[in-house]
Amino acid sequence: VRKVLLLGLICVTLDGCQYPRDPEGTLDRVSGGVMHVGISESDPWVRTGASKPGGVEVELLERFARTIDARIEWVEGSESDLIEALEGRKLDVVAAGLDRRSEWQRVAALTRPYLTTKVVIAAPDEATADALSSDLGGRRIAVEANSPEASKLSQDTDAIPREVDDPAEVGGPVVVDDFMLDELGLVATDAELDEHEHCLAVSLGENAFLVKLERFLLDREHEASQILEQEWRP
Amino acid sequence: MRYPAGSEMPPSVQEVQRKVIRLEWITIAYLLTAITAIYFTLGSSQAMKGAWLEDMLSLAPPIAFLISARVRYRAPDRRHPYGYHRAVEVAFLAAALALLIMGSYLIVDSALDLLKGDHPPIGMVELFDWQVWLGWLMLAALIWSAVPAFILGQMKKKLAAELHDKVLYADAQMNKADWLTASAAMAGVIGIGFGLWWADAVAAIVIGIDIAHDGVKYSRGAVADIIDGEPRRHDVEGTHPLVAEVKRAVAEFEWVQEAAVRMRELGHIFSVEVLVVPVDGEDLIDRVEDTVAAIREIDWKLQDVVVSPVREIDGAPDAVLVGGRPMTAGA
Repeated sequence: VRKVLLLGLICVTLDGCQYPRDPEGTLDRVSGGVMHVGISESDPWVRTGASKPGGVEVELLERFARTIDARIEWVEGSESDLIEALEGRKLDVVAAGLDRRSEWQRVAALTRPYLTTKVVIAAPDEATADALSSDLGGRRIAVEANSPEASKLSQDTDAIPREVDDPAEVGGPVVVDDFMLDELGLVATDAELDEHEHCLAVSLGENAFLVKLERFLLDREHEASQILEQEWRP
Repeated sequence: MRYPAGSEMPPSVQEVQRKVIRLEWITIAYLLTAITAIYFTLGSSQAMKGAWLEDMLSLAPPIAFLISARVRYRAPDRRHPYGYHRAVEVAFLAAALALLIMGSYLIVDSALDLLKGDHPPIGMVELFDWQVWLGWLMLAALIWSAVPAFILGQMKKKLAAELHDKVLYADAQMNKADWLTASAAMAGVIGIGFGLWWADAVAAIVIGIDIAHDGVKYSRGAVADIIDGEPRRHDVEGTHPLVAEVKRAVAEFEWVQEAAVRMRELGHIFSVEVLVVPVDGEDLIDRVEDTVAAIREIDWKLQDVVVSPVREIDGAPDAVLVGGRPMTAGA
């Protein structure tokens, strides 16, 4: 065991041989070849409508592909279809605005989060924000209609949800993602409704590929938030 | 005659006992650190899960030992006329059954994973600003779960022989299982690193078999004690030497025509019952009390001794009978 450990350490320090390795050799196949990426609409993380896919995760994956000299073939589908194809090793990566705490972690390897965002209750000015921080009871708060945030707001707080089409366009207290605050000129309250750890999914057990992608993502948390600022527009 | 009291130890044994109690506290503190280390590096490795379960279960023997070290001194009372010696057997059985169940669970769970062809993912982690493959952290945690356990196990094995203590011996064996388990898990993690996805599940099955095997062995030992099996050595290998010694001593008494000697374990001490057919009816009370005192002299474990004179012994198994001097006329 000690010899193997030593060998492993030498490998890692010299970066000469691959460790950990992929049981099915994904990294070797994809490097200098084709990377099959499944995408599912999830604005602003993945956008599929246009002729060319866009969004934060698409941009990150394009940059990652350049580092390993891979060409990307995009495959559109529903999240569950894509994950099933990933499980059967027909796809190499799935990008669908996934959260690290999703149920998929039983059938797919979810990467470290490349970005963590929060869903917060915000107000147009400091005074309102302070008041809301101390008590939400009976306050009317705008929230996107029929969204998970709307259900969280009514279940977890005693505020009165005011369901609207686009919370960015209404005045007064509102539920928004924390990255929208500056652009909309809003002040966050202490009330956080949710937290999202954004990640990508790769096939279970392809550890060399997983580690390569995670190293790339961990080095680029700042880059990811910059891309988000460009990709997200009110 | 003195009513059999709680467990009393000679000073030399008490010294060892104090040492063991300190060692057991150290073990518990150490195990808590090992359990924490493995918990944070658990990932989705089956073998790591096995090592973690094993470490948690290893807490049972030292805790059982420490509790019994307190309870065993309690004097007999109205509700417990035999004292509290056997409290430790309950803990021993519970720990053994836990081992058996956990081992079986690990075998089934890992075998299912193997059949499904589950490839365990091990990715990167970020510790403060340091990025590292989780596999390396797993190996570090496993080394911490193996090396001290090995040393503690060796120390306890020696002390268990000095104390003739079964719980302590089981604890030493548990520490041995710990470091074996950790080694198997290391092989599994290293195997995953080399792209052998099945290495992890196979290592976990090996670990599971080892844990379940221990469980069966200790369950049998515990059940044998509870149904009053004959006293066995601290390592559960063979009859305890005191059994033969007591029989020899009883056979040597002049007044003993024939005797049946029954011995069983009461936790750390032994209970001795002797039915004696006397050569004649003279001074029976003195003879009985002298015999009880003589047996108690043999070893500190022999504290609960009852000798009772009878006219004859019918239907006793040959193995418990001693003496058998030729019947003298008029006896």
